[in-house]
Amino acid sequence: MDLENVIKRFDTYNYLEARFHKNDSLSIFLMDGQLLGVTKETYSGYSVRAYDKGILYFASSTTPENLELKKVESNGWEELGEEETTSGKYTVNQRKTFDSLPIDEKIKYLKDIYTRMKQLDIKSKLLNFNMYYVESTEDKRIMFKDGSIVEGNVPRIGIYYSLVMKYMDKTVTVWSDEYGGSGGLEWLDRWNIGEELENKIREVDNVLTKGKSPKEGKTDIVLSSMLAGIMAHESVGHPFEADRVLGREAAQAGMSYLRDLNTKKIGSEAVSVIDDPTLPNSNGFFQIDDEGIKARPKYLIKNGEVTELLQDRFSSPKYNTKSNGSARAMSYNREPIIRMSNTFFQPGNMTFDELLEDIKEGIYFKSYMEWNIDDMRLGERYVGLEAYEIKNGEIGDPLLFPVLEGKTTEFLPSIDAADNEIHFYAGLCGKGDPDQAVPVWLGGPDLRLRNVRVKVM
Amino acid sequence: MNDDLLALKEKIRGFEEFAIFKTKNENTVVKFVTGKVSTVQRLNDEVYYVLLKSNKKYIITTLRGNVEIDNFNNLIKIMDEPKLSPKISDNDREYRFIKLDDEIEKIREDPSNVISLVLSSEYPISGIINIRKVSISLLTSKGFNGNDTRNSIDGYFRAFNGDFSGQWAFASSKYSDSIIKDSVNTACEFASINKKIDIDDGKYDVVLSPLVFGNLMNYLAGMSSGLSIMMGESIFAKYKPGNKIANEKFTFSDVPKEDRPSALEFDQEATFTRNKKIIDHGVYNTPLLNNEIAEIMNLETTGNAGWISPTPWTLDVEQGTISKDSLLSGNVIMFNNNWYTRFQNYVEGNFSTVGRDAVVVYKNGNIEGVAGRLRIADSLNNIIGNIEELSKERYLVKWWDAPLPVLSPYVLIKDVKITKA
Repeated sequence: MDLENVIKRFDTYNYLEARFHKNDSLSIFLMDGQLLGVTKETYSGYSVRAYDKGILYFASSTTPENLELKKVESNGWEELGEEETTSGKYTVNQRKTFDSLPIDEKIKYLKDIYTRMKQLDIKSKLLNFNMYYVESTEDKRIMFKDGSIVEGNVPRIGIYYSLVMKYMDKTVTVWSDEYGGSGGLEWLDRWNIGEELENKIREVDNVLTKGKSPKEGKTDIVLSSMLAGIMAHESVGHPFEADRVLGREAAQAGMSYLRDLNTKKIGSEAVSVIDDPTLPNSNGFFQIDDEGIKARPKYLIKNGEVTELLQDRFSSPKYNTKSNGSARAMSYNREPIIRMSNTFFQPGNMTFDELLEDIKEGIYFKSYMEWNIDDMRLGERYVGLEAYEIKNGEIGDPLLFPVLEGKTTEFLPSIDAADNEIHFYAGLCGKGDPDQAVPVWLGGPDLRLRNVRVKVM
Repeated sequence: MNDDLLALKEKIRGFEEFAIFKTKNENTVVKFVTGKVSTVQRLNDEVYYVLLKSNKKYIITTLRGNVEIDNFNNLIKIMDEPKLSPKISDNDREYRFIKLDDEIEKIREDPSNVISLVLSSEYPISGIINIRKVSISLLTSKGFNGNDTRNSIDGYFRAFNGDFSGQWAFASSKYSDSIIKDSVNTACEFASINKKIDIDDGKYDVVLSPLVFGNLMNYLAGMSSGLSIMMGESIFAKYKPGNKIANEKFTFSDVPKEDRPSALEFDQEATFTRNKKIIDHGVYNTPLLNNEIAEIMNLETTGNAGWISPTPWTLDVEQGTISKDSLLSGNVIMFNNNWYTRFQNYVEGNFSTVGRDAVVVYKNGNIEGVAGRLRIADSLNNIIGNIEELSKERYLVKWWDAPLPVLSPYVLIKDVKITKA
């Protein structure tokens, strides 16, 4: 009834969507194995969005009665396409519900991880160890002018940590954004956080205590699935957002190199990048987008060629195409905008060992501690954390913080192989103003790049 | 005053202490894309943050749209005693602060005038104008009942001139047409520099505009929070108050008592706010503190609660003694804007950020051209340590990558490591 009334109130507009959107969450924070705090949040409210003469009018409030749209007289930038609206419901089931484990058990689970790390026999000092657990449920109900209704229910769980290690005069910050997915507490059984974190700390300790300086110059490298994931997301996913190519984000998160790209060929045959919101139990899961368009997997790049951008109802007419269901809003008080979901390089058919096999001399970037990219998504920089030399097809000594710096248009053509194992990492993707952080997965296989430039920090 | 909070208070049972903190935001947002209006938004938001305490144990709950308090008593019983616990100040005053600029209120209702001003620019503009009315209320079990209501306007504009662009921003608690016109014109001036030049990797003397320095100061302010220091996510973790950590020309403050956007009269623990120098003429003076972290550090609260996490309010970099033009009179690279500052190590302060818009190369004070997207890859410690001069002119800016307002000069910094992005 509430949404119907909103639709009725504003039915003079030729496009209209009304949304109820609720985000519930429970967060637990630990510092050095001690509880820092618990927060329990509920954000819920209503929004309405309407289109008129090139302008999108958006209003949000905690109560539907307070929604207010006021037209302005001005040239509008937006265009509206003709699209079918899909009605439907999507949900993610929990095999173990959030309330199946009391909060003290959840705190104990996190404390046990810290205790395990403190007992590690390493040469470096573990100065700080911060952990953050969050379980959340996102519920939305969206009604469109034609009466179509979309309902979504997605529970999610995530564990994040940051730690500081020091050996002599070298300090490193290690953080994770790896553990997150949709579903319930069954994820805690699937993730092997204790063991993985132990291995990570041992490896970072090894780098700090035995790492040697990398050589500057051109070399072959292998990027782990973690770096492949960040590259898929940041160097392909973001610049393939149609609104970004068109300049709608120009004053915020920037634009895209695709604006100036005069060829479809962007990478080697080994490069295929997919954005797929329908991956079961993924962090970026949805089946119908917030504009009532059915979601589907999208090949952004297939065998090195640009195939499809991420589109919504308002970008697609500018490309004379249809929306591919990429619009999402973070919460009730944010407009739906084009967002990635789960973005990843497609695996190849080699094993990891086969990737290494014919590298005479190179570097394996297993994890990174700094990453950034320019606002056209062209010039990027990765500073390795766990990094190793590759010698005669085998992993060798640890290296101290090699820097990979170059352009997307150099890296994608230099990928000549991907292995056959895919891994996903959880992340929160930021965009827009007012800012919106939405849950995503990023991932891929291990990738081999030939003859790229490595710098010394 | 705060009748809704008083009604909510009645629902609280079985806790020794509580605080209810409410933010009410009424914002009008106008988004521009290449000289046209993309969206007009009216965002009305009410959030109730409720702190419930039993001895040291506590829970914080955020309620928006559903003002019902669950029964948290059982939850608290089974929780550990936490490492930190919010301490509500012994302040039982009733306090009200209201400052509303009539012109801002008019524009918030009807932004047509500012839209016209932006769209009459020399070059097409992309950007945002935010017009806000913010009302903060606090009720505590120690008897404090306060409200702080004010309005402000801020925005940032990116002007496009073919391959060249410029950007500027502003923030103000008073409206005049001139702040919009000046910001748009400054963005267009930067965009009008239309000669390209190539620069190699190396160390250069750079001048950071208030936009870029404001972005870095947002990070520095976050690092000055006592919790960031305790968590090892701060360059201050290695230092103690009294240590020299920057050039003596650099003074950096949190100034909630100034009439500026994001200023506030009281913090979340009902401590009245005050201006304080975080870094005073190069010397680390104080972290930002709430009651509980101040106690651990044997210091006094600075009025920056944030329950658990102290937070900065509105930032200020002291002016220098020479003009902006004098800063640019030698061989320098001036960064008009930057994007995507990322730290690899918060303790050492190592970061990189990429310049965008007008990265202008000056030789003997003359413009040689725009160098495109250069990356600053250095450390925050070096940046504040190598400050050579600051301009007399200061600009209050707030933009997409500097969400806290900063009153900042242009800043000349020696020997900054630059790589080609």
